[in-house]
Order: sequence, then structure tokens, then C-alpha cells
Amino acid sequence: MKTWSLSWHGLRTVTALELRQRVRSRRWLIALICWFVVIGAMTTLVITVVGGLRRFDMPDEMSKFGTGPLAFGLITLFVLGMGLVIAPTFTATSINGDRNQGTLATLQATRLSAMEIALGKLAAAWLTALAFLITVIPFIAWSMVLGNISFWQVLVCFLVVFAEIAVICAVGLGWSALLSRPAGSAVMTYLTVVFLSIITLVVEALSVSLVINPHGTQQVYGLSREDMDAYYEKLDEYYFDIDSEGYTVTNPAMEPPIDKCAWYTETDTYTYHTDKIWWMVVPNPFVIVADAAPLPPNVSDTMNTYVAYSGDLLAAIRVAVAGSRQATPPQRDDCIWLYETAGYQVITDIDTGEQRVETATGQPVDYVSPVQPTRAQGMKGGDVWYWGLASNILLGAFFFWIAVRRLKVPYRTLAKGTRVA
Amino acid sequence: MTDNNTTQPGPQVILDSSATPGIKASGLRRYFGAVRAVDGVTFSAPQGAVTALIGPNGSGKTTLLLILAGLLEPDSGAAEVAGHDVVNENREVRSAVGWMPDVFGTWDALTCREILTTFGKAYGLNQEQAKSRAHDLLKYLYLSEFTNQPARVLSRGQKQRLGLARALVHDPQVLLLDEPASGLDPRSRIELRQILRQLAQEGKTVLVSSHVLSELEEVYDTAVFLSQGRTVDVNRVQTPTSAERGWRLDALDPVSLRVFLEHSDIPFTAGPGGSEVVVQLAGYDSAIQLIKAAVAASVPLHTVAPVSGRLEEAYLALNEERA
Repeated sequence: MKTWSLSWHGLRTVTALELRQRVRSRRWLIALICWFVVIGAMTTLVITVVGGLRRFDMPDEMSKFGTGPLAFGLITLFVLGMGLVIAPTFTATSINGDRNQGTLATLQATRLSAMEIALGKLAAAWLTALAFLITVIPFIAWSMVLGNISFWQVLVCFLVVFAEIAVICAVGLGWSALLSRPAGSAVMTYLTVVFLSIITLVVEALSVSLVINPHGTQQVYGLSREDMDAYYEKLDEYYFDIDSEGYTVTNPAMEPPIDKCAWYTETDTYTYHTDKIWWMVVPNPFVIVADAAPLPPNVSDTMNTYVAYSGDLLAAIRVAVAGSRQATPPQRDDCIWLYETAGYQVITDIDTGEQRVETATGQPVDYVSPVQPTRAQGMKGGDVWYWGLASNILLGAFFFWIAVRRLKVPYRTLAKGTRVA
Repeated sequence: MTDNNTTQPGPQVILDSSATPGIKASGLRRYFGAVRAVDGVTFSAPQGAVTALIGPNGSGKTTLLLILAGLLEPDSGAAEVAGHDVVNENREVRSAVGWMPDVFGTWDALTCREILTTFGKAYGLNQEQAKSRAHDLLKYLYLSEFTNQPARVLSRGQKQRLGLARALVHDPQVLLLDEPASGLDPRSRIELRQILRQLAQEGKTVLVSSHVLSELEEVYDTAVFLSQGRTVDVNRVQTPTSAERGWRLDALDPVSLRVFLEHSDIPFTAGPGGSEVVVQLAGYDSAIQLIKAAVAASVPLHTVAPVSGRLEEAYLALNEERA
């Protein structure tokens, strides 16, 4: 069908036209400057505040991640947020605005196909978005200087943010083709953005109440109530001699009574079945970008430890999503945590979620948990961002398809309240 | 077939019945909901001629032009433009047609030359061709001084000329002009007429709609009348030759003309031209008789003409039919 035919010449003609108009209008330049200033101010603020926080005394575990991950995460999410706010302005009034100005029909009357007009408009919007993203590079470079951010991480985040903004541009184009009034299509495009980035979260959060079972049962491997009380009493006597820093137990570790650990059934316990609703946040652009962001180099701790110590927001979102994929597991090992109370460390493998015990000095302890590790505790293999990105791209493609359909001439039907010319 | 929908050839007869028509429409219909914008249009516009499209407001002229420009699909009926079907060979039609809508916008930020080169490229010209074409057209339409000015500085008439340049940018076989004369000053109107005649002489098919009938009067070869979305059989609505209509008379010696009329008991009123008089005559026969009598009475008569043009007469007849 000729509607979908695409030539390089035609595409370039429309793209050049759109870009030329945009570049010449002062509005665009002002928007770009405002964008630069706002992102710059935000970055300065983040880095200053983060630097200030980091001046407090901190244990080595915390300071080894540096301020880079926190600053980079904040800047990336902020750039994405701002990008989602400005992206609708690139296309949301593109088609109905042109129609109202009387410039659309004259273009449709030429040899150009509907596909060339729609794709040309989208390409111009993409290039504009690219210009906006490129101005952000100095600030991202700044956060890289703060350490622990890899080029790979920056590149992936940049590409995913760019793809997300492109999706919103396509959505805006579709709405502007569907609705006759520019105000209406702008509102609908913003509502789409709000739906993706906020409503999905709210709906999932509210849905949690639907998937809580207050009368669940769980098999627990641990101490009985009496044994537990006895252990804690013993612990109190034995070992509250804490060093001046308040963290490290100076006494040699005592053996926790793991030989008394046994299986028992806990009834009427709250069990969470968030595995039924976790997917609701998958199309959320913030989740997509956070989940796609590679971890900084040299992260070998558990995700929970890493998130707590580094303040990396991207990783925090990733952990939250991965955690919500997991229903409350049918079995729980309370026994291993006795080691922590006794001054040992419990280490969760970042990939597999397997847990092992080490002494404070890093000597392995011979304890094998009877509970199979759950995937959410590890991180690899739990990525969901490509599903989210694919769903968003599908959404963008759908709206783009609408735009092309609506630009097709000769018109069979006209959108309500519109004229051809 | 379609001949009864067109008037007799106008001032410059270059009709060649064997030539394939540039535009051929039969039974076109297009409704917008309950509004029957085009409700049975059948006509053909010959190549190498200017065809006037005449009808009152809301008679479907603009909708018809949209269908012919390949932008609107007819509900029924068929139309061929430059030998291509408007629906099935839409792109070929669009490539062959220069369409100038009654209302159109221009991209504010672009200069006149950029607007024309953009359209040139949109019609498939390369950069060089589009540039030289834009240059030529700006000169042709007396817009050279605005070459590097944004279109928003143009006056309404200048914008109209730019719109015409835009429609001509790809040297189209068929021109569809919707009210091209609106907003033009008298000089520009004369130039527009010359351009239309020249295009027709080059063998193009020109279809012009206008309310300014005096404009078309001097330029059209054939005319198509629209009323309530239908082409009207002109012979039916044409004022019967016996009906009384005003005629304009003027003589080198106005006094002798008035004396002659008073003697002949022909009532007259002063015409618009000062020395002119207007008389009511029933058809061509009466006019001929009057001329014979006046010449016999040695009145130096030099002007005998109906007050209104043929198009205006027909147009008014259309309106009467509507009422």
C-alpha cells in the first residue's frame, strides 16, 4: 500500500522541514536553555548534598562505593523524569496543530506518503530529544568523576532513556492525529505518561492488599520459643561488651545453638503473593531504566547491602521489583540469622541468592541452609527491563500506526470536528 | 454526455473535443454525516482550457476540489484527474495536480524560498531542481524581493501569490485553484488571469472556483455550475433569451442617444459610467432591433452590452433556483 511507502528523499524532506521550523522558533532554544539550567542545578544540588552526607563518619563498607552511584542514579532518574515531561511537547500537537494552521493538507497533497510525513515528524522529534540528552552529558560526566560509574552503565542508561522518550514522542504523534484539538492531545499524551510512570505504581501498591493472606502458613527452620528465649538470655550475659565505635563485637564469637534448630509450622502468618501483581510496574519507564542499568563495577556484596551502603537508586528500584516478584516463600531459614546475632556475617551470593556464613574475619563456617535459595535474593536472571521496554515500544508503535492511518489520503472518514483543509 | 453541464466556450476558444479531458468526474458523491456536500457531480474539464467552477457558498466547490486533489475519498462515483483514478491511483493524481486551497497556512519560520524548495522536494525534485524552480516562480509571481523573508511578513495578496507558486512548483498537468483571486489587488488579478491563460495555452487543465465572477468572465473557456452539491444543467437554468435584462448603452454623443430613446418610448436609467444609460430589453431580438433603429437614427452608438456577464446571469439563476 502506498500509504506505507517510504523513501529516503521524502523522509529527509519532512524531517528537515520539521527541524528547521523548530530550530528557528525561539521557544525551542529557551526550552533547551531551561532544561540545561534545571538539570545543571539539580546535579549541583545532588552532588553537593551527597558530598555533604558522605563527610559524616562512615564505616568502610559505606564509603567504598563513593558518591558516584547515588549521584548518577539521581541524575539519571531526574533526566528521565524531565524527559518524560518535555517529550510530549515535541509531537503532541504536531498533526492537529499543523491541520489547524492549514499546513498539513498542502503537504498531504504532495507526493509524500503518510508514512513519510509521520516518520519525518517522529524523526525530527527524536533528533530534538537527542539534542536535549546531549546537553546533559557534562553532568553525567561529572557524576562519573565521583567514581564507581562505568561508561557501560552511562551508555545503557542513555540509550534506554532515549528509547523511552522516543516512545512518548510516538504516543504524542498518535494522539495528535486522533484528536482535533491540540489541547486535548497534549492532555492525553501527558495522561499516558502519568499512567505509565505513576498510575502503574499506585495500582500495584494498592493491589498489594488484595494479595495478602493473613492466614498463611510457612515452614520455619529455627528455634522454638523456649530455646530462643534461653539463647537471648545467654547472649545478654555473654556478650554485650561493645567497642567504642558501637559496631564490632569484641568478644570472640559464640556458637549459636544451631543444633537445636528444627522445622516447625507457623500458621496464621501473613503471606504476601506479590508475584501475582509485580508485573504491573514492568511498563513503568523508571523501572525500565533502573532495571536496565548495569551495576557499577566491583559490586560483589548482596544487593541489599549494596543498596543500603551506596544509596544507588537504580539498584534500589531493581531490588524492589525483584523482591516483589517473589511470593512469601513456603520455607524460611531463621536459623542462619542466629549467626548474625553472634557476630558472624551472613553473605548472600549476588548471582544465585545462596547464603553462606563467614566469621567476622572472613573464615568460612560450615553451615548449609536447608532452605533452597530464592531467586529474588540474587540479581542475575531476574531482569525485567526488556519486557518493559518491549511493551513500551509496542505502545509507541501502535500510536505511530494510528498516526499513519490518520494521515492517509484520500480520507475516507474525517476525525470529528476536523476539516481536510 | 457532459456537454450540457458546461456553457458555450468563452472568449478564447481552444477547445478540442478529441483531446482527453484533464478532469473527468461522474456521479461523485460525498456526504459528511447528514450534510450532502457533494451530491452528484458529473463534468469534464478539457486540457488546455480554463474551466470555471461556479456555485454559491456551500454548494460543494471546496469538497469537490478536495476529491479531485486526491485528499478526500468520494462515497460513490469516480473521478479521473490527468488520466488517473483519484482513489486507486491516488499518488499519481497528487503528483500531477497543483492544488491551491481557499485557506492555507505557511510555516512561519521558513522563508519563501525554503517553503517552495520544501514543496519541490516533497514532489520529488532534487535540491538543485527545487532551488531553481523556487527562484523562477518567485520571479514569475513578483515575489523575488521576499525570497529570503519569512512568509509571515507577506500581505494577504502576496501570500495568495505564494500559494499559487506553491501549487505550480512541480509543473503540474492539472491545476485546482480554490478562490485564487481573493485578497488580490486589481493588478494582481490581471496578472493571475494572464498566468491562467498562459498555463492553459501550455496545455494544462485549469479548474478555478471563484466568487468574483467578473474575474472568471474574462478568463474562462468553459464553466461548471454547482448547486447544492450537484452539477447543474446550465441550459436549464440559463436565463431564457426572452426574459428582460438590463443592457448598457453608450454613444459618442450621449445627448442624441437619450433623445433617440425618448422618441422611441424606451424607458432608461442613467448608467454607472456617467454618459451610459441602462435599458430593459427582452432578449437578443429586442437588442438587435434597438441597434438597427439607433443606427438608422444616426446615433453614434459604440457600446451595447448586457449589464451582467454570462456567468453572473447563470449564477443568479442558480440562486433563484435555490430559493
